[in-house]
Amino acid sequence: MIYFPALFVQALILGALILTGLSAITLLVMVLIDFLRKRVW
Amino acid sequence: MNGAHETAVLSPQIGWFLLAILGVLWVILGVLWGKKAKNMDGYMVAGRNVGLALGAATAMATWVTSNTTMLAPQFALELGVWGMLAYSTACFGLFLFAPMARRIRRLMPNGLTSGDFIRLRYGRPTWVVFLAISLTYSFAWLVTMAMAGGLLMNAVAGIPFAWGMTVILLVCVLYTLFGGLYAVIGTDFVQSIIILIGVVFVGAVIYQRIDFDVTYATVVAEQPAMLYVLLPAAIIAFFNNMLFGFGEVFHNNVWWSRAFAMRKGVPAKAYMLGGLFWLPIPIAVGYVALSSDVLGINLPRPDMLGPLAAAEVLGAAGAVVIFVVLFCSLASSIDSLLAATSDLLTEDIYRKAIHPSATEGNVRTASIAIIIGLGFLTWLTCMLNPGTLAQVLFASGPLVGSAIWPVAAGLFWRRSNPAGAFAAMVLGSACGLYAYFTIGWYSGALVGAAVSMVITLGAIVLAPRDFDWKSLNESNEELRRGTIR
Repeated sequence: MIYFPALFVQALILGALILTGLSAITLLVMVLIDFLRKRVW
Repeated sequence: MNGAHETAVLSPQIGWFLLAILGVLWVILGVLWGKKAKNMDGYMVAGRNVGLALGAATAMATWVTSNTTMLAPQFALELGVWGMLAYSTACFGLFLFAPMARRIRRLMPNGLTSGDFIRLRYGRPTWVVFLAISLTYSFAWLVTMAMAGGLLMNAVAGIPFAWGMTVILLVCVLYTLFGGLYAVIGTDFVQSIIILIGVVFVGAVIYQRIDFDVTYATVVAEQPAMLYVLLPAAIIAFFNNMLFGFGEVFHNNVWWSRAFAMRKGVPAKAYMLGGLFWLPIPIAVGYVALSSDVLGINLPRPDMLGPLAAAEVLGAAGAVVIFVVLFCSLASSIDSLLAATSDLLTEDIYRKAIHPSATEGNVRTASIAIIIGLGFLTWLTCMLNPGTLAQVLFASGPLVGSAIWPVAAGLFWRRSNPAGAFAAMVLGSACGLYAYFTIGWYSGALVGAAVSMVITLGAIVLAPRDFDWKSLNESNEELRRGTIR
């Protein structure tokens, strides 16, 4: 039986955690930009 | 179901305190944002001027349901690495909806609901079938979300089911009632930030506290199937989940109303970004499943893995974070379903079918009555606690699957045939339901979508009909005069 390699699984999890964190930061930056340009709503 | 639950990781006092703080916060924000709504366009589609940040956040937050935070670890537990990847494929629904949203916004600058599109594109018979499918599915989803709220509050903090469900539902009804889509989209933004930060916080602490090599070695020794590359059931789930995502997003007014609400040029980007932001969440929360053996968690219920793992590693702080994340996941979906389903009832049933010459005041009054009525009906259904409701939601998969092709073809192909769309939805649903009950749950949406595809495409080839795209732009004047097609 072939297993997913440890490095792949580790990269998948770390990548997901980093991407999730980056998503939060990106959203906050985006809303700040929209706010400064008065384009939130 | 009432009283302290054996899985409770928080005391009921702390649970009630958090519930009160979050509930009051959402209602205050909803009332404040709701002041922006000066007319029905403001109330139902947030003034059609929502920017990219709020647009992307609302797409992401609405797609993060309690299922994402609770079921993704269960998926990973049962199907391993493939389970995490399979759950993530639901984001493809948002990706594929991106070009559709751009086209919807362009073709229907005055549109309000997905029902508007079906009525103008295919005529009234198909519209009736579509409404039956969409309302059945939306109501079943709404009730299951509200019930999940009650169950989760009970499981995590020992709050009695009826009280937890009632408070969550009441809070969502109140701020949707006062603020309409402004309140829903505004709170979705705050909720999405809380969800993202909570997921990273819990995942990062677990990753830091437990050595990954130990986790991997333990999984290989204890549950090697979780790491198999070739796991047929998981590969089927991978495609099944993707198809479900397409059907749900393509037809549901939850997504259409946001496309109408976004500023011109924003919808496609917002849905792409929303999908990207959502993509890593099932993997990030699914990670706890891999570490469950190392943590030595005794699972009374598989969907309680996330809260129990967080409480095990982080203690009370982890339990509080998980409680807040779960509350936000539930509220961001319940408010969207309340708003979108009540819009469908107000616009498609009240204004288009019952009272075509209704003034804006009439529509506003009807909308308030419908939101309260829908909230009450949901509460009543939850209190009756129907064991079959989850089955209704699953069984509506074939119905939803049968709507994929008529919606997509109707948006992009001028020669789509209205009779073909009608037959595709009716026969697709019938065959899909037959497969669901005779072959298995995993085949229903697939058969429904396949039959619907053959009929939709066959009708386009054999009996093409011309269509003037401009007729999708139903003017407000036309609506006011009551000359509705």
